[in-house]
Amino acid sequence: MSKFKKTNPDCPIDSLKYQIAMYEDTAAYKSLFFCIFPPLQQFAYAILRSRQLAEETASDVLMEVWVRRSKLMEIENLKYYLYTSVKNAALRKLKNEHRSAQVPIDELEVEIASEYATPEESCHTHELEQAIYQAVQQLPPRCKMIYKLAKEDKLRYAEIAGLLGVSVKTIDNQLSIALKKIATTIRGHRLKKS
Amino acid sequence: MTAPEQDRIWNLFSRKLTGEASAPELAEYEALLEKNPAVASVCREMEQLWNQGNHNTDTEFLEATYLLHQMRLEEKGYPVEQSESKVSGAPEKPRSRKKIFLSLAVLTTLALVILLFIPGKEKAAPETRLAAQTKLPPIEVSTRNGSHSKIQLPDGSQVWLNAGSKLNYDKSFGNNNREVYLNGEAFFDVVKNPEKPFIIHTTSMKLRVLGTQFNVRCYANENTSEASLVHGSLEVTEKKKGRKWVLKPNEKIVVFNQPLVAAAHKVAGNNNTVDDVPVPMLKPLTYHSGDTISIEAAWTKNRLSFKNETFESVARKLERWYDAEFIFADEQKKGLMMYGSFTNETLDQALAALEFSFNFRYRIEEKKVFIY
Repeated sequence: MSKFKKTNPDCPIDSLKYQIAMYEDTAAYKSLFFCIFPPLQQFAYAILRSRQLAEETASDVLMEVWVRRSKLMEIENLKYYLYTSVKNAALRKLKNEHRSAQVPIDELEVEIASEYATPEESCHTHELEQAIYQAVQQLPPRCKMIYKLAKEDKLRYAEIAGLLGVSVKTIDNQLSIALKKIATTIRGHRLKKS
Repeated sequence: MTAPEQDRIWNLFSRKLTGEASAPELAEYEALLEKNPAVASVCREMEQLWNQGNHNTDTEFLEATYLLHQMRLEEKGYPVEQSESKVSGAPEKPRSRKKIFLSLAVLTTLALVILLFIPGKEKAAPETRLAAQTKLPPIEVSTRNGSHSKIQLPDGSQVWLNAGSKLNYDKSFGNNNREVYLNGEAFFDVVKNPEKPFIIHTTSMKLRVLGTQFNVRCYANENTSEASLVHGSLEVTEKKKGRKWVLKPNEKIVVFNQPLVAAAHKVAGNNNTVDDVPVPMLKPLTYHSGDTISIEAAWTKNRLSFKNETFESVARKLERWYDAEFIFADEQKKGLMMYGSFTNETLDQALAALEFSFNFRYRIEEKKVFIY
């Protein structure tokens, strides 16, 4: 049995939040960890550029969730709260190490494929998916970051805007650019095949 | 299709994919697609790819990361206890980290007497979960005023139940865990079993014990709840705000049941609820000079003991101990500060001794004691 599986993009975060807050449900907490730790870690990595620090930051933020579980219901939008916490914690860590963010957050280079995937697995990926992956990798940083947060992390426009400090209009524009790029890739791929 | 129209498609399409599109926008999108079937075909393919899972997650790696995460939580003092979430009766596999933690606790030979008083709203969770798991009615042991009893739990732990107290535990006690519910006062001598932590629930607190001796005091009609540790190590969780303490031997925690301000407000006819409960306090156990057993645990040796308590509070103790009813004809006497210690005295002898030292008079009529 393969140890790899596609993550369910729909993390039922609100129901998990309820289970954890009201019932101290440790299975729910573990589920929350499994679905939200990887994207949080990736976001932290974009800021910190260090695997270890990124994992530490994501872990710290999720630790707080358990420590303060009795107050969880007070947080309306837990997902957004977690992303914001990771961003602030990562920026604080940078400050502590006397490193300032080289570029504004929306210009940071972000990864698209999870580092939890192994190289062998991606070889089995569909050729088209690979082409699209390459296309997205080549997007300008800001565009790529916004695309990732929207498609992979499933954040809302307003949440992305708040997190990156940009306007919703910017999100609109950048996503259009990304999709246009992907559409071009698909058309190119189809032409190759025919 | 014009260039602006093309751009508009991508704009609308991205809104559609992310769920941000309004109904009119969706309609506009469909209309534009109809005008350009080639684009429509590409969009359909993109939609499919967008909605499928993103990452190939290495679940083994994530499991390992989670294990590390759990260790960090445990080190910080906030363990995630997996056993609580299991509804089936599957036996718990002891984690090696837990063993290390437990053996350290075992080495400390401090006794904690824990008096737990924490009235107030309970959190739904632990009791509900236990209730959900329980299919058989729990076993109940209770004592009336004027009597104590000593029982032995299925695992060999001893419990001295003080007057007017009640202990409940499930028939399956000792199978996977050891959980009891206490109302009143009890002294516990818990058999060490690192695989099965001993857990005591009261209305306001939860105690986690490994193998120790301690006293728990949680009466509904008292102002405070107390947990006192004699030997061992005890983790106390206050249910109301989730605060935690780990008691060391000869320490006790005192929790206030009712906000003092709220009580005053009630008297003034003010019905606003004030969540101004004084913070629970850690204190050392109290002793009469020359005594080796603390006042908190003295009752287990059949000794009724009190030090620096108001007559009102002492009266409540006497009521339970002797199964009597105290009536203060002179309200002011309620506030008299008293100390004393009685072993085999009758109620009359005890009151006579107290009357000798403190400024009050009494009269006993059947089971009623009048103070004036």
